[in-house]
Amino acid sequence: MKRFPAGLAAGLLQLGLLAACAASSPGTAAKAHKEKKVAHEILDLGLTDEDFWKEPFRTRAQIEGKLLDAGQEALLIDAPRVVSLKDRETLPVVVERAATLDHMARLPFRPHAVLTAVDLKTNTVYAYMAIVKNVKEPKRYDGPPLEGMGGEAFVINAKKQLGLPWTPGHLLLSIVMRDQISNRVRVELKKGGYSDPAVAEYLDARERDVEPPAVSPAAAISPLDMKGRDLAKQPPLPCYTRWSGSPEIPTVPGISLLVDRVVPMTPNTACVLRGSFRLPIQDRDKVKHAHAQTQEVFDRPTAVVGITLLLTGSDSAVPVLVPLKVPSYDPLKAETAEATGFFTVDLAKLGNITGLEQTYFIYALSGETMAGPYPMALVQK
Amino acid sequence: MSNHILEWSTLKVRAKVSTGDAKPADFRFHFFKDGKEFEQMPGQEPKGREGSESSDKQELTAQGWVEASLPLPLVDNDKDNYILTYTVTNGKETKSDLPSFTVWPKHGTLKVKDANDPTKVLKGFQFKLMQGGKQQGEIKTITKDDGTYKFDLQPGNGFSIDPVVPSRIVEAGWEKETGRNRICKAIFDFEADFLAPLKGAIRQYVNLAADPTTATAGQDGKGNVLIIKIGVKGDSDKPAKDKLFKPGMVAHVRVTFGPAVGSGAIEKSLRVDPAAKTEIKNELDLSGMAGAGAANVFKAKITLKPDGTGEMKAYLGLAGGDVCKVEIAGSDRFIKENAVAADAVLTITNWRKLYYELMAPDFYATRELVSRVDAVTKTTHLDYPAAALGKLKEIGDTCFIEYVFEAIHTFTAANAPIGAATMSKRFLEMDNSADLAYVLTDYTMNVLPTGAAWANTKNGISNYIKLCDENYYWMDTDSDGNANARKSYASPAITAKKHRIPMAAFDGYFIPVSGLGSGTGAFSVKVADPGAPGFKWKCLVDMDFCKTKVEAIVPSRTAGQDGQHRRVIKVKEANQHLETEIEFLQPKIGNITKDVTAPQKLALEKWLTDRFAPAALKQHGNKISITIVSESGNSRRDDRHNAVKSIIESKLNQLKASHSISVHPGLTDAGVARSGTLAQTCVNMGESTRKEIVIDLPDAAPTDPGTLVGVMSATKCPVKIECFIEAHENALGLCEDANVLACFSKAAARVDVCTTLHELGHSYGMTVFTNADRPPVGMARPKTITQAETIARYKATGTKGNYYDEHEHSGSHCGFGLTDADKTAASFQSAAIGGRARCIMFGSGGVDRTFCPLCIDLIRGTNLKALPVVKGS
Repeated sequence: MKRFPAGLAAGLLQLGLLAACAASSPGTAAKAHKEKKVAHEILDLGLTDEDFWKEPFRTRAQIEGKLLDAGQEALLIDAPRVVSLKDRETLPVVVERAATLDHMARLPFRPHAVLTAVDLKTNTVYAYMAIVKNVKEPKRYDGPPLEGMGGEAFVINAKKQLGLPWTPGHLLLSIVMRDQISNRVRVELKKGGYSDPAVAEYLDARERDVEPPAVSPAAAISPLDMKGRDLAKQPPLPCYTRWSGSPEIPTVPGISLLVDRVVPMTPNTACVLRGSFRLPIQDRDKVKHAHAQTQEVFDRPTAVVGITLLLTGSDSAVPVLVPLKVPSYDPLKAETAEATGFFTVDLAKLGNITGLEQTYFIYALSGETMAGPYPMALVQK
Repeated sequence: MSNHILEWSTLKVRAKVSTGDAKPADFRFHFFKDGKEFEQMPGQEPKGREGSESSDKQELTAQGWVEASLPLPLVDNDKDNYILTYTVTNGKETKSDLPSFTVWPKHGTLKVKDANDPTKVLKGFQFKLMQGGKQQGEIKTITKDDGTYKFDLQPGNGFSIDPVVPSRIVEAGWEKETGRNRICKAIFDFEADFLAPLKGAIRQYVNLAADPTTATAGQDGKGNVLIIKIGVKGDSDKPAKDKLFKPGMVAHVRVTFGPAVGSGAIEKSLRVDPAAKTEIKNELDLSGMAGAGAANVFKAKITLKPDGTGEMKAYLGLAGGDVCKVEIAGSDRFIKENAVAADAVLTITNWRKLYYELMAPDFYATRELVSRVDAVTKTTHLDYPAAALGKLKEIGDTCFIEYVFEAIHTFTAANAPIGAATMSKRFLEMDNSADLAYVLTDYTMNVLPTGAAWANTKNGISNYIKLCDENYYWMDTDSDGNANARKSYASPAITAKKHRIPMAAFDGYFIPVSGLGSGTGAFSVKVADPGAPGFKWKCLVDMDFCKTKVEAIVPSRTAGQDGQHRRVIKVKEANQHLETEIEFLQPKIGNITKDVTAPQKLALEKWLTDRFAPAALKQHGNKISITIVSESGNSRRDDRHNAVKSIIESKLNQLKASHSISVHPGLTDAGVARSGTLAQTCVNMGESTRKEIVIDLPDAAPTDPGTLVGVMSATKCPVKIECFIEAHENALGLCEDANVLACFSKAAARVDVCTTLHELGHSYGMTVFTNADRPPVGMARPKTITQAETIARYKATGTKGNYYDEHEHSGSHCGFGLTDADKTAASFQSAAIGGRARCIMFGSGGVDRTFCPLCIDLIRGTNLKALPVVKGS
């Protein structure tokens, strides 16, 4: 069955330029955190693993009824704890959302919900629209405030929607809607059937010998070349060493980002994102060449950490993923298994985002760490 | 000057003795054949003429003549003639200045071999024997089994053979062209012609069912096997005796399957179908096939049967636009010489004929379709307007598909599927009119109107098209494992009879009848998910507002009279109009008591408790209004009053806390808030739109929500509505197998019919993207938007291929026209990208487009023998 929607009736977007206004947005981040708090009040939808395939909305009425009666908003997801690859062909993610009608109208789920998954083994991030439907797009609501509450619920086959590899591993799933984040749920994909401990041991051992991927995108300036440079000036990008625009390395595991709050759209628009990180690493992240820990050869990384930037727009939410393989030049501490470092990149060059005048909400994901949102508005000059 | 004589003649030559005397025997005649002496003869006395021999002889002898009579030898077989000369000698004297003779053969023969098979002879070969530019005798026909003909010759000229049409000596066909006995290879040369189909250009509808084994297979234009019948040009109009046909006649044929590759225009389809090749075979009357090679050219011969006709089969394949060019001639010169044309050419172009049936309600059909006179049946029927038919033809021509109207089925609005003809254009925001609109959904897609049915007269090659003004649907699950629950709605407190539910929050539209494909056409609003149709309503009664009211105790004191022996205090309840008494008696000694005894107290408290009986309260306004009627005038009287009042106050306070009830019309007798279900009939269709459900709360009964709704009061209370809504989505069309649902309006006929064409494209197996999709057999998988496209005409711009899936579209589609930069975008659902898309198979519509070259090639290569097309067939 094929369905044929209408095209958009709107005219072509007119690109232009606006004056610059640079600021980071801790306030927005705080708001997002608040939303997360609401969502985290109910982390378990009370479903058995079997329910996700057979009766995914079994507890919906009960949970939603409470939320609506209390006038409480929530964006909740849940998924089976374990999925046998041998027995299952889908990875159902149940989404339940309760919100005021006004919020639902101004931030509808389908055009804005981005489903994300982090493969914790490979630190690969997958993201795409949670729901794709070929519809004649309704005009977005822009009227007076609406009264009442509403609820909606979906089952999303994350395997299909994200094109997930159907291989054993652990996934961390979440949904992002502009600056709102759902709770995150962990799913184990198991081969199913007999599990041979020798194979597991072999795979673990093999993992320890894997060299990390190459730094990507390649640095425009090496750490050696940064020596003697005026660190107050922005270096050529991408850059993976500290300069004056870099945020401080987090004191606890995490990722810090700084981005101009408003970026004027010019023919050579640069969307400079500055970041620092303190992240737990795995054996596969560690550089294993002989000089890895040698202080003298400090232009060689000690580890290469995967950090994926996820951008979703205020109007066009289709996610943009910018996978970074960021080097750490700091000595690794065996006791903490953490790596620290910096990165500065131009999102305009990496993310193909300068076509639309809208606000982007930037998240950074690495393993179980998720930072954001950091809003960045592109405006016509 | 030479004399001409035939061989075998007897030549009599004479010599005359001019001087002196001699005997005839003294003379010797010497005869030379082409200068070589071959005979000597002595002279003889002249012989007289027959009948007068003696006198002549005497005369000649007297005159001195001698003569010799020579039987002329035969002309050598390999020579046309020879020159006979002679001399006469008499002693040493030789006379050589004598006349010469050219001796010619008396007979000649012609043996004619069949040039097509030189081991055979060509009986029936006809020729004129020509000598000296003149025909000798009648036209001669070889009838002998050895293929020879013996003819007489006249002296004086050599002879030549002039074949009579259709007999023709082939080029270099003379094995022996000199001498009397000649041998040649010949054929019956003729101008060949097509008998069925006739020469010219024809369309062959290769997707139509046909029996390839019949004697006239394909000659009705149907099927992909065509029997081609040829004959001698003009013979069909001639009586038997005048026909040019001769047994053994052979026609030459060249069959070219095209169009040629590399022309830059339409080329032979790349479909490679082992089960439906483009070819000819050595069968029927065709033999000696050679080819086809890279150029797809076959050469062969067709031997005409005794009836003067010959047949061959052309296997045309299944691809639309493929061309089979058949050239025939009695001569093979057109094959060997570029400048020579064939006698007749038949060009067969593969087309596919697909039929369509339309179905729509009469009010829609008369508004959006037009009356048309059928070209075949001459009947008048409703059909697409000219602009739409023009677009269908325009697009169909590019893919070699001919769309043919088959039937239209109309019905009244009353017979429409449930919910399909109940909404106005205003409701759907099409315009502001109250005109009825026809709406189809996934549910009504598969429901036939009452009394209507498809004709199914062209089953398998028909599309069944339901036309409508608008298309909405609601899906609870999809094939990808996704599920979509109904949206829940919880209203705020409603205080008005009319309530509006905004659909803006639900990312969809209100369509009263469910558009669920697997549904039953029930009301699209439910009380639960899943649940019965309707809205839940419930009174929001402020229980405190309508709780039992206990009014302040009212004293009613009147001056008592002294000297009484008993005092009575009355306690009255004003609402229930009941009263009780407490009697105070005078003991034998002393004053009338002023204390309430324990039994009296218990009785009074019981009486008060009875006043709080729910039934009594409900009957009397849920209010307690106590009046104490007692005497005044001294302290003892006051004490009695106060004692009673104290008991009443204490008990009332207790009862108020424990026995109060809330009484309100919005509550049931059990004190529970009234609730119920509102049916679909409560939806005000006159005011509702797809974006807003307007509910008129019913108020027919006192307990109806419309009667009760209002600001909280003794008789009114707010009402809450809760429901689960199937939020419908709006689309332009839908294709399920051969069934098509398409929005169509006359005003936008060209654009709207593109929706139908898009859906038809899917039914033809477009577009090939996923692993489950397969191109037509033998054709390469098309390039995607991430792959480099190597075929220039498949690229509108940039370097990449065109096929994609998702990108905020559903399923796989074609991005022809998009720039390479567009193709890296995550979403194609934007006005800018949609504006650049040029192919009908782009993922969103509403634009007048055409099929791109790649899609055309794939549709051309698709087997359209049965709809829907099986992928990869």
